[in-house]
Amino acid sequence: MRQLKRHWPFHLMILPSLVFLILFSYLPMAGIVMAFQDFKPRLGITGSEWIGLDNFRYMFEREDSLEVIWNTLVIAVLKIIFNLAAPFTFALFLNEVRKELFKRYVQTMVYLPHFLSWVILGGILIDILSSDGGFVNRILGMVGIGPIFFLGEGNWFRFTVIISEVWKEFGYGTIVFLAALSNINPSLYEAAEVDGASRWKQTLHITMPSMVPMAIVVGTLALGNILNAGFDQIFNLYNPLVYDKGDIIDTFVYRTAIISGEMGFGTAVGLFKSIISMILIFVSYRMAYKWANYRIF
Amino acid sequence: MYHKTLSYRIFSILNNTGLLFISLLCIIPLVHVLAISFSAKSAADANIVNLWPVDFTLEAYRKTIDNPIFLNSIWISIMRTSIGTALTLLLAFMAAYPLSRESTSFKARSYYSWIFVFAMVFNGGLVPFYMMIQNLNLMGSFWALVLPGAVNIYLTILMMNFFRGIPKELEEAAMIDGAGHFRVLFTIFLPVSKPAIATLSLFSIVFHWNSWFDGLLYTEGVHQYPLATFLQTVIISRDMSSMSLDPVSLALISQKTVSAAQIFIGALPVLIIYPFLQKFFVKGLVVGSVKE
Amino acid sequence: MISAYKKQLLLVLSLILVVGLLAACGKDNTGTGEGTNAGASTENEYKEKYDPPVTLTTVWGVAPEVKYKNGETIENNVATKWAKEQFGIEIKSLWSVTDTNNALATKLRLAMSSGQDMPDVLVVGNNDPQLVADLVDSGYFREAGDLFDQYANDTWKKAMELDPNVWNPYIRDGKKMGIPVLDYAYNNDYLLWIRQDWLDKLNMKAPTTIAELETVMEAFKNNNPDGLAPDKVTPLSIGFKTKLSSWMGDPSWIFGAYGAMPEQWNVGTDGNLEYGSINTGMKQGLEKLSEWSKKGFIPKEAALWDENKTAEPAVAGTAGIIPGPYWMSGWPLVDTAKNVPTAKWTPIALPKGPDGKATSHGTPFSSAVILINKDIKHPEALFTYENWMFDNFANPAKGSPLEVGMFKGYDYDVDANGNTLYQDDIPGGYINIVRYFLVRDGARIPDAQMTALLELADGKEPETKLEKDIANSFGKQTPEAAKVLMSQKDVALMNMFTGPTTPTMKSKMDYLKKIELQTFNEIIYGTKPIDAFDTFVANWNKSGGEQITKEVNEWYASVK
Repeated sequence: MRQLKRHWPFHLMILPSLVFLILFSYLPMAGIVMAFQDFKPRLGITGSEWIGLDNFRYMFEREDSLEVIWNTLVIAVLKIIFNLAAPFTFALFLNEVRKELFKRYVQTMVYLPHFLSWVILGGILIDILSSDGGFVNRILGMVGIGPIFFLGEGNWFRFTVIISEVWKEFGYGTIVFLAALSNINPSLYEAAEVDGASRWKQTLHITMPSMVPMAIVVGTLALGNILNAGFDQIFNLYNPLVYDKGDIIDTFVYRTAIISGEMGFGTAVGLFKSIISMILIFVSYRMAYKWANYRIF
Repeated sequence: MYHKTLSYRIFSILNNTGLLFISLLCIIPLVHVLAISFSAKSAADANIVNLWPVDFTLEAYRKTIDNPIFLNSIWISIMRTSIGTALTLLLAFMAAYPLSRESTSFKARSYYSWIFVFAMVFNGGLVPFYMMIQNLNLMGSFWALVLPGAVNIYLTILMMNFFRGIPKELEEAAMIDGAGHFRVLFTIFLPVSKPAIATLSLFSIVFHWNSWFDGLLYTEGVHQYPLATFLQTVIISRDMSSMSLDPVSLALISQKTVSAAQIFIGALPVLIIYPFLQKFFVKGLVVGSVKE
Repeated sequence: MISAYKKQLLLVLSLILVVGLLAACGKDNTGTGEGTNAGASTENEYKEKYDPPVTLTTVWGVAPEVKYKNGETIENNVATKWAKEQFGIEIKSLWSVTDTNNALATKLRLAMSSGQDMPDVLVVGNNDPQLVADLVDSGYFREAGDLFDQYANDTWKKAMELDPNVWNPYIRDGKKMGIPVLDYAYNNDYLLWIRQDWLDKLNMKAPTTIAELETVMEAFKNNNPDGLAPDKVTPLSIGFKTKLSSWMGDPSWIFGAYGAMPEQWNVGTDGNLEYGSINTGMKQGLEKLSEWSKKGFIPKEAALWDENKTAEPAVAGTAGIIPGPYWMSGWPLVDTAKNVPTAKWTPIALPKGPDGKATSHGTPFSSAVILINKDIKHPEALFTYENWMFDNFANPAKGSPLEVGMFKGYDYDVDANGNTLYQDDIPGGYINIVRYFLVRDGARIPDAQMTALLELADGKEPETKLEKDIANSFGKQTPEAAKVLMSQKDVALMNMFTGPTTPTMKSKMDYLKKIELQTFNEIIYGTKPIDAFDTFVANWNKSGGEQITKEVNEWYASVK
């Protein structure tokens, strides 16, 4: 009771968020049971037939299940890595710009692509990457490379998907690191200056360490997307030539849902993805705590 | 001073050139969209517009401005974004404070933070969520766009991590003066969190501005759509194989130039707001306020 | 210490409980209003006008291009006001959704799952057979065939008799559970559009066989009349990103020349249905396409091209041939002349294969279905509305009040001098009013449009409403194209399977489609030899195709 007395402001501060979470997250989680049902809209959650693990079985028993899961993992993992590394690096370079106006200009420009949807960008990419006179292949042609069928050859397709995603999102991802940089105490630099540390040394020992906690947080939370390889992007870019390297869980669930209208199956896949994400987040949380003594959340 | 050395100057020039190049790479698609919006329909349909308009015309903008649904959707988006962001930030700001405590001083924080993370990872899917909206009588209401996404767990966790960077001395000094936690939060943390709040506002604004799926499902029709939903219905390439096709409808559907104008106008507000928020990313704000 | 933990946990749990209970209470309060209005027994007397007015509820899946003026909405507009005045029918909308991203299907499924009320009259497109089946089997809707027999007028019944197969998807245990919405026939049947000015300059005749077509494409590419470099020309603009058989710019007719029609169920030699993509004719078609891909006759990136993309080189004036429906002269080809003033497109019949065969995919006579709620109070009102539409709107003759249009200021207008204005000349813009009607497209008689087109092709002045519509907005060469289409009438093959998705289809069809497209593309691009087709067929049968074929034929036997 004494605890409660002392901590009541804490509980009170969390309470509003908690109410929202219960209403819009926890109560609807009852729907997870649909993963174990042959869900029929007319019968609803309470009336649909229970079918045990059939929905999961279907996901894993398709001839191409392994291929699809593997594609998803490869693309998602590479995206997570580069979506962390690119903004981190870019923030470091941007930090060296001394003209405030130029810095703001660059910051704003690189943030733009985030606002164009993949429907639009997909069309543009198909044009500029065309192996038949597209802009990129013309440049490559000048230096004697190509033409490369970027979107029609499996490995190049993955490469293109990852690069274009990084290109679209790195500017947006930089924001959080720039905010972290604004937390650095300028007197640290002044002290280093007095000690005669080079700029590189300063970057290594002051700038980068101050961004690392943020990188750990962002990286850990990104693990929640370990099985989301980016539906909108893949859906707009993939084609039969790259099904074996580019078909991912979400595109396959989408197509299945169109044919069969099964909502139970979609829930089952969602549950599977959530469980994997949760495990990974938990493990990395423990690791960060054990080795860096840092609680991510 | 390091920035006067020759090697740093050379680096600086290379760095600036590189950044300039990258920034140009990033605006090309938007310039392309802009060029299409100013081009003649026949040129846009033929896909012969690159970075400069072909047969310049303002026709697409005239049609956009004439469309009452488009203008209405902008208004709805502005409302949902401003109210939604205010709510999200308030909730995140308050929840992040207790969560940022050390476990030794507030034991329950661990339970709470796992409650948050669990809710971020797991969800019950569309069906129960839809039922919840319906049972709360939110269907077709403006609040269906604001309330369900009010708690942004990702932003709450970010805010919590910002709070951890605030020096303990600030808080302790206030506590000694007899301030309670609420007062510490609103009079000490609030002013030094400006960069964090600016950052999170931006994320929240972008999130609300870009959300479209809720607008499609929880409204009662196109007159309640926010802008993102409206744009989504306009630009998506549709499966038309079985609808009754005729040249009149198809000509109306494939208005590339008008869509381009709408995309550009629709992105404008969030593009303008960023440079505005940048001025809050002032270095050393937090630490500077600690009296040593 | 431990007790402190427990207390805190308890606190959290009790909070969850309290809020949960609150929400559950809310649920009970709103959940009781459903499904108790069946007892109302009013007299169901068919009238031309109801006084006092009767109400029909509906929901709308609105196409994104639908426009409004004068502050109107889909719920409340010139057509709903008219229905009230004309028939005393109040059309009440429960909700509407813009039908992209499968929004209508999602919303209907969610509405069913959460026990939301279903409308009296629901019209859904039959391009989503699974949704239609879910709805028909949901128990929300009543038999409609008996109502149709009782109330529908002769015009509507006659139109429906043009193709009795339109009922097939909705028959359950011999009962007709929905009324098909009729659409214009031949709308998606294929022909070729070719650059006549190029043919003229090369002094060549329009190709009639695949072999002649190759000669023409060769000339278009390597000896281009507009002086385009060979790598700038797309002799034949086609794409197959997601489908081999679509609505514009697809290669289905190439397989058709060898007797196969992919991605649909055709009647085989034994009278049973057979999946077109495994027909042996496909092999020759694939070989041909592979050859054309190597020679650069088709776009290098055809595997990435969807329908709209195939139109781009055609509009830009760099494509020589594009396959598609007869109305393409109105859109998109009308714009080619704006980019290349000398360009002239001409419709020609599909070229024949070595055996003299030509095949196009066909157009179903029905595009949607009307479902009637089992609790509807006035089903006869729906027929009052539609009967009038079929008599007066479907094909207004010369001198009819609807000859120039239906709602002044919307689909037509009259200027100060008494001249009729159409399309963009209407002040405030043209409104495609057929989207406002209770039943999609108002009322269409399948053969009416083609009849009108053929009249116009024979040089007749436009007199009836349909003839005028076509003359005003369908493009110059459309009547000519219609005539070409009719000259090759027998080539169209309709998809004979229109039943609900079968169980094995649900679990296997996506994988089968995937290996189909993958194999075909790999053959076309030369990464796999042509023999891969035989492996594919074996795989297809083994991986569920055989079972699907069996199920499809069981359904076929039940409706034959």
